Amino acid sequence: MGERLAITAKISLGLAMSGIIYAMFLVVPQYVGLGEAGRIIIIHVPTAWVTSAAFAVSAVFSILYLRSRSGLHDASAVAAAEIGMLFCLFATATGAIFAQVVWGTFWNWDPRETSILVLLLIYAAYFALRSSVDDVPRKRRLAAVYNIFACVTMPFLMFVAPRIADSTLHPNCAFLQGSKCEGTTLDLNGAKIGQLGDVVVELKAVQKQGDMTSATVEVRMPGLADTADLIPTLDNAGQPADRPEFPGQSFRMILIEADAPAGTARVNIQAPGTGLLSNQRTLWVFMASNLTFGFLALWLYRIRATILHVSSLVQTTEAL
Amino acid sequence: MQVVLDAGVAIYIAMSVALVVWLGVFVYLLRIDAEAKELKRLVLAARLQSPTQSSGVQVEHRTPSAN
Repeated sequence: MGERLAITAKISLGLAMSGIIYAMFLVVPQYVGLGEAGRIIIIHVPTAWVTSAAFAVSAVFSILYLRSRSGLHDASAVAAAEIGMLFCLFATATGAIFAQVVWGTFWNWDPRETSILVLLLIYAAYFALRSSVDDVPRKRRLAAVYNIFACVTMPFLMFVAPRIADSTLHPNCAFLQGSKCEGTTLDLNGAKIGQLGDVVVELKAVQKQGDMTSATVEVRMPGLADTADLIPTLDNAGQPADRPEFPGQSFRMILIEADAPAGTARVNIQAPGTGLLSNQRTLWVFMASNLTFGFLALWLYRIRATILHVSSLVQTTEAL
Repeated sequence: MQVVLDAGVAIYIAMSVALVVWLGVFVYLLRIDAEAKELKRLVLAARLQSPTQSSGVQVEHRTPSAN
């Protein structure tokens, strides 16, 4: 009975993932400004969420290992960390593809990209630590302690750091209520580095002409590949009017507020992608995708934990 | 080649490639899942039969032929 249920669940998962792939290409509509690239969120975001869940599960098993010293708990912690790493790499790769299509570059050290890279390095160090200690009980103990500390950094790197940044190209506001994305305030006292993605920005002038307020902002792209003076404007209602494009990129600069007498201006990046989930079809496919990727991760975890546990049993038996 | 890159056709081709890749991964996972379960069963059985004897050799002999 249990075996039959397991087979049914696996076949259902296979069909569900096929359905997600079908829906991603043929049901989800194109998003204005993103073209076909918007479809990637159906995979990108669920894999990122599975990553955080897997790392959290891994830390729980590490705590259990420290309490019980059971090889099964250690195997479970490693399996969950491996699944987290796999999905994290997948989320990073799909994010880089999205960035290439929408922002014009695979990697631009956006706060979100930087924090996910740091997370990958932290968990790469976890596996390096495991392979660098030969004594098995010591290896397990050290790895468990490290894993708990690694997990403490995970929520900060995945959820907090990208949101406390003044500006990010990543469309946070598309998915999470309360994301600020308030931009950065510039004054006439010189250039600011890395305030908008990895772009150097320098406020040159703030002017009021009739009902319109404009700011002249010099932007220097990474490696000083391009330099340009962008002049975003605000209309009389305080809404962004002219939204000039960054040189060689497909995102734009918007002026949020400006104070001409004080010589300050608050600017932000406007990248396509915000509001993707306001479409009902996209939202439902997205929710189904989260569920399906969650079950896929669970299955992968069970397989890997079984293999690792068997391997540890064989090693223990041989040691006897 | 021009037909393949046509916007109306390309999306079906991309979907087909993704489905074929998923099918391959899925079949691989089914197989490895079954093999892992069988391996676990054999190791546990070997441990029950001779708890102090090495089970590594037995497992090595029995696993490939069991599948």
